[in-house]
Amino acid sequence: MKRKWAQHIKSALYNIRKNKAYALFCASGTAFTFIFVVFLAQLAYTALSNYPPSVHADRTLSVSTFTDNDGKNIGGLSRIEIDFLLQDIKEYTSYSIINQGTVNALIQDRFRIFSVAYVNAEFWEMYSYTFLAGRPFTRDECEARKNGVVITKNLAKSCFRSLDIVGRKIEVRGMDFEIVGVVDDFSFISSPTSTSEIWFPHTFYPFSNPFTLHVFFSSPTDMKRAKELVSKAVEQSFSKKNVSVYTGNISTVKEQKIGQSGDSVLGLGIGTIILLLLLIPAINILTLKLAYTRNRAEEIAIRRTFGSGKLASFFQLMLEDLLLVMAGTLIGIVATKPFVLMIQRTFFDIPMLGSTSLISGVDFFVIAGVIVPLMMLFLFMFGGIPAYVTAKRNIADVLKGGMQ
Amino acid sequence: MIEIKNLTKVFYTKEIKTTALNAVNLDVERGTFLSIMGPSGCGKSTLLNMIGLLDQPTGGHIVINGSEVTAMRDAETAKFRNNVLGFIFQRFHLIPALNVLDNVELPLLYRSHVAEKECRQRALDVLEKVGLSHRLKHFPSQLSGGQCQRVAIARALIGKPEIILADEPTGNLDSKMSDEIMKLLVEINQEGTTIVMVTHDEKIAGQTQKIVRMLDGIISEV
Repeated sequence: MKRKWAQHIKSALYNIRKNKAYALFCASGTAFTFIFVVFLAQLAYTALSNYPPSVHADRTLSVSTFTDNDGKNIGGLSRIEIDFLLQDIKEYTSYSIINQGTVNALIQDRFRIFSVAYVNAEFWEMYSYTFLAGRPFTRDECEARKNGVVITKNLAKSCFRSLDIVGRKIEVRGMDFEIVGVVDDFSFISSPTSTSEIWFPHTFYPFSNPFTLHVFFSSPTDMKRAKELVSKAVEQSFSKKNVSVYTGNISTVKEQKIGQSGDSVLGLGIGTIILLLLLIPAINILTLKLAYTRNRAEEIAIRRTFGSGKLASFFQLMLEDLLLVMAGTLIGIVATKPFVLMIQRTFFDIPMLGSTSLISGVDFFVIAGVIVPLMMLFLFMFGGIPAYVTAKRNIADVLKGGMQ
Repeated sequence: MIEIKNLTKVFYTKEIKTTALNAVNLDVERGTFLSIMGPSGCGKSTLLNMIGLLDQPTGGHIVINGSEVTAMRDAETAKFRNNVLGFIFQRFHLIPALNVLDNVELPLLYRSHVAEKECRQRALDVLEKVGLSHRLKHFPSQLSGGQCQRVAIARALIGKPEIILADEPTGNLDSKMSDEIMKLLVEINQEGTTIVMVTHDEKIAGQTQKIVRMLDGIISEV
């Protein structure tokens, strides 16, 4: 069995070498297709799951700005109002407060504008950022207004050319801040502070704008009840100001990530796009493949003459395409993140976006659970018909050199 | 050993119906070296393909070693071809990607019970027999026509088939090489293997024990 497959691989490699143009077209077509497929699959996985850093996205409620029952904006909650609100909610496990903005920071003698966030210390417990160096700032440091900040890996690399920068300083509004931690790449879709590259203690927030509150309810609290608790607390908070508030838009972080469309619609939409992405190149390769199968027909007929069955012949033909598709898919997986970053920087060069990306990388789960099955589907889409046609052809006709 | 009864093969195209074999009856006894002769298009290769289970007849029966082979399914025909039949073709039909040794070992790859060591030894033995033991690692493109046909004969022999079907085995070779190949086939037949060979050449056919002549899809003379 092992020798039979070794011989099949030998034949497949010979045929690949012999038909370089087709092999190149097939592998590069697969690679290019799978860059988009991997990107979309990873994007969907990031949006639809509790993807880090939002590891509790489906159990965290977001409270931001509100409208009254007529749809008029009535703002959000101040830091003090949030403290009272939390006393009313009671059953929560943890909470974080977030405010975002931009700052002009002096780093390495150069001023640059950065997207930043002001958060409390609990933020780092609720959200799972990977620290490559240092640590998050603590509650005591926050309350004591100690000048510690956390920055992204990309910022560290672009400004300091190193990750070993804990203790180095950045200057914002004439004040020195010490870098206490460096976090790894993350997808801004799953980050509660979206594209922020520097995190300050919330006590340094210089304005009086309301904070966004994220309240985490651990299992087994029912999320419907959690929403009721938060809604009631918000209503009470606004009733103190004699303002009626609409609380129907209080939602989980996950619901916010996927917008109004919902899991199934988003999944279905991305699924449809992926299928179309696979179908179009598959048809192109299939057309070319049908012309090329003549090269393999004789070998298959010879093998069948000497004892190979139709099914074994079918799989032998698929092997050649499998090698090409595997090579193409591997290139696609490796090239996805650099390609996405390149497109992002070339066509969507927004300073606010900084160096964060739509996807932080490609997960093993996405590769094993989505990409490998899609790779096999793609393989059968373009290789299945030619292999079936070749494997079932009349042996005598092929050996005679005739076509049916 | 081979019983052919009322074998018919009709080829259809959109407008033309061609009867390649018209109720052919033929018996081939074990150990016979039979040659089938006839002009181009008389159906001799079609008959050989039917015996070799490389094509399906339109009607009639073929019984080989007591087994009705026309009713077999694909997996059964594949196994039958592998175990009972050996093939030699005019155009050799070697796999260009494989070297001599790999080409010769091909039939044994589809037999699960043959160990790798035995497979290699049998390949070496048959290559020795056809005089090509010094060309083991050569590829078909590096061999002459005569050498390619010797490799094809070694491939046909390795599975120790009871019947060898040869379709114009000397058709692509010069007279000297043809004589050598025929000498080899006669030797194989003398060892007990039944051979059915299609040929155009009277001189070649003259070296076989029995000649069957065909014309327009029927056997005209035995």
